Amino acid sequence: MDLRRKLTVFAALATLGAAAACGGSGSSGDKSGGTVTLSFWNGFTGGDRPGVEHLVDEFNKSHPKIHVNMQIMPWDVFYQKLLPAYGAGKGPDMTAMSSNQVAQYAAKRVFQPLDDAFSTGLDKSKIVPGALQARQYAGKQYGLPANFTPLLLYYNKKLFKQAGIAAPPANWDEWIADLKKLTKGKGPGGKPAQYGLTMGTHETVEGIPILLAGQGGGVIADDGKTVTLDGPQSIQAMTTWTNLVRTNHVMPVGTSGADADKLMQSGDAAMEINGPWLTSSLEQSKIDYGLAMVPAGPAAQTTLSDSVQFSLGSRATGAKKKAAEEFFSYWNSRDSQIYFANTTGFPPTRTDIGASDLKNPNVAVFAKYAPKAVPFLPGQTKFAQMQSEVIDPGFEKILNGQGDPATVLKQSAGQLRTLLSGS
Amino acid sequence: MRRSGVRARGGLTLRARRSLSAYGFIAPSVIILGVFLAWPMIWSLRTSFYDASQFAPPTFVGLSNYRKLFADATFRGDLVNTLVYAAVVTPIAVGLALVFALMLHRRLRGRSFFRAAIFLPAVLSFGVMGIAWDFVLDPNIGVLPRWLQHVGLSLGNGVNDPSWAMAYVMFVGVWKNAGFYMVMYLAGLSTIPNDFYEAAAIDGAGPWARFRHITWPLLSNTTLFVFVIAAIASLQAFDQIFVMTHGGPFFKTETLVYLVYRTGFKDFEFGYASAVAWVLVLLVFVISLVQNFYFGRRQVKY
Repeated sequence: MDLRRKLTVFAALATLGAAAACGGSGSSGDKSGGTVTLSFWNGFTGGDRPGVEHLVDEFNKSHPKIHVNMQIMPWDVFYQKLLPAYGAGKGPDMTAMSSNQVAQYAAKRVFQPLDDAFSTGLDKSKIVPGALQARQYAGKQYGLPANFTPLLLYYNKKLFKQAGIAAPPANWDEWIADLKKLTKGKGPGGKPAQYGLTMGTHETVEGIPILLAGQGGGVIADDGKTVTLDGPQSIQAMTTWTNLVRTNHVMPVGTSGADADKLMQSGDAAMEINGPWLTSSLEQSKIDYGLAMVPAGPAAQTTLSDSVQFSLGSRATGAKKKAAEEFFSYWNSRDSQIYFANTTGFPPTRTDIGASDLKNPNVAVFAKYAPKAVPFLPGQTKFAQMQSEVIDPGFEKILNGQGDPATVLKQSAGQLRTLLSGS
Repeated sequence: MRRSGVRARGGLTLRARRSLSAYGFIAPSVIILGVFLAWPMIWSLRTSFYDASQFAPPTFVGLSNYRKLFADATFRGDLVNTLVYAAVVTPIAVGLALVFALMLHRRLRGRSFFRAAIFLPAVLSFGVMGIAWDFVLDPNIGVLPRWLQHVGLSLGNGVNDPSWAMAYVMFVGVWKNAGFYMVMYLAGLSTIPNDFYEAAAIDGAGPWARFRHITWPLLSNTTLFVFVIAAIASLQAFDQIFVMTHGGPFFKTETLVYLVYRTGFKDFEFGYASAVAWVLVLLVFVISLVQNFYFGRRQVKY
């Protein structure tokens, strides 16, 4: 049986091995002629690719003694390749990856702390605080921001106008009232034709933890050790929103991030919580949208962030480390960040870039709320497992009505406790 | 002893030369199968007794992976999902294939077109089909739910619906493979001599009697083969699940092969993933043996 599958797996591994070997040959720091070569892997295959390529080119031109050798690959390939590559001792010098993934690598000592970069040029006080918090592990800085953005509330202005709503909701009371007004019509299978809200609950950035935090709850506390998912506030928030979803049908259940985006693009949903990558597809679909901070909950007005961060492989020492620090400083410099924000739509990683420097008003909105955004579960070495095997399935179970919030959240919290870092 | 004196120039006997060239001919297959099939399988069996992630050197843990496996509620759920999937998809796909084959074995207008249409899914990629069906069946923007709405039928919340998701991936599984099995049955049908039917017709046998006493028994060799490969294919269900549901919602459509992928390539727990893979190997082995035994007794020679 399983023979064919095995063959596929073997072939995949063989390919990975070969690819890793290729990557390795590039990284064997060529110091001839005083040039330091840094291999750099990332997954910027989307709309941000040209901006990234331009910045790397500019850096190579302006730093004749350093050559950044960048390889861009799709994120899923990147993650499948990276650990085996480091395992074989042939990983890249620098990487850029989702901040959630770093702790896992830091724990395996694949990466080295980057705290020195702050003394060699990078001004810590100018960087958005959440962007630094996102990549800390065991009290050290294992990542520096490549980008950092808050998740905000997108709303469809046309649908708001039709429902007679003048401004985006500022707090939960207004939000809930608006959601009920904006959910209407009869679609397939007795579902609404138009949803008030849509939010991916798997394969995407997390939205529900923002709601839990609004009530004063959460998933894991800031200390990284206390699970708060089954705390009274979390249960209360989950109960409120589950009722809205199951009784008032304000949101479709179980959508992936891509499905949620489609609903927003087709004008079948009035609001969505998401990052800046949605702007271009909404513009292509000719949706007249606005952006606002996620409405304030009874306890707090907060949102989650999404960040891609640079890391430095632990084998890159001496001249390579210096060169990499220079690259990180260059990337996070004022000029680079203004360029990056204006070409990619991501807000700058710095706090000293004002709306006047930004051509795109949407970027300015994201930049404005960036300081309010907190990273989701920073420093957890088993983040991917927590998210895809415990948190997301738990939320979907509740939203599908297969278990009440208190029971399921208690179960999930128990599973999270066994996955906590250091347990 | 002088008999063996037929020696060739190389000093080898004819017999030795023959077997040498025979080995030479099978060598490429043996090497490829050995390197890409046998060796990885043996290696994964070994790995299943180790705690092997990508970094630390593997440590021998005996049966611990297997013990963990049977205590794992997700594994048990996936085992049930796999068996349910196979128990539903295999007979439906084979049954449909037989029905299609019987219909399209007769002379009728547009026969080649229907044969090609039913066979077509078998040559398409499972992944591509998964994406296409995902679009067609999407509860919010899909074409099919919108049409069915007019006749008052609901497909629930599509692949996001915990009680429908499995039916969706099963449907795609049947759709993909029925055409291929139909071709096998068509080949089987064409081997049945027409004399039997003529004789039966003279004796006054109706269509059902002819099917029951001629077609079905004489197809038993084909049926054995089709059932075995269909069962194996169902137990390996992965592709459309990966594309359509990612094993969700909350593991409702996760099969054992998906679990192997998830633990091996997402969590990088190679030891545990290998243990799951070997449970699946044994499962397929046992089921194939049983089928062989069952159909083997009913085999017909003519």
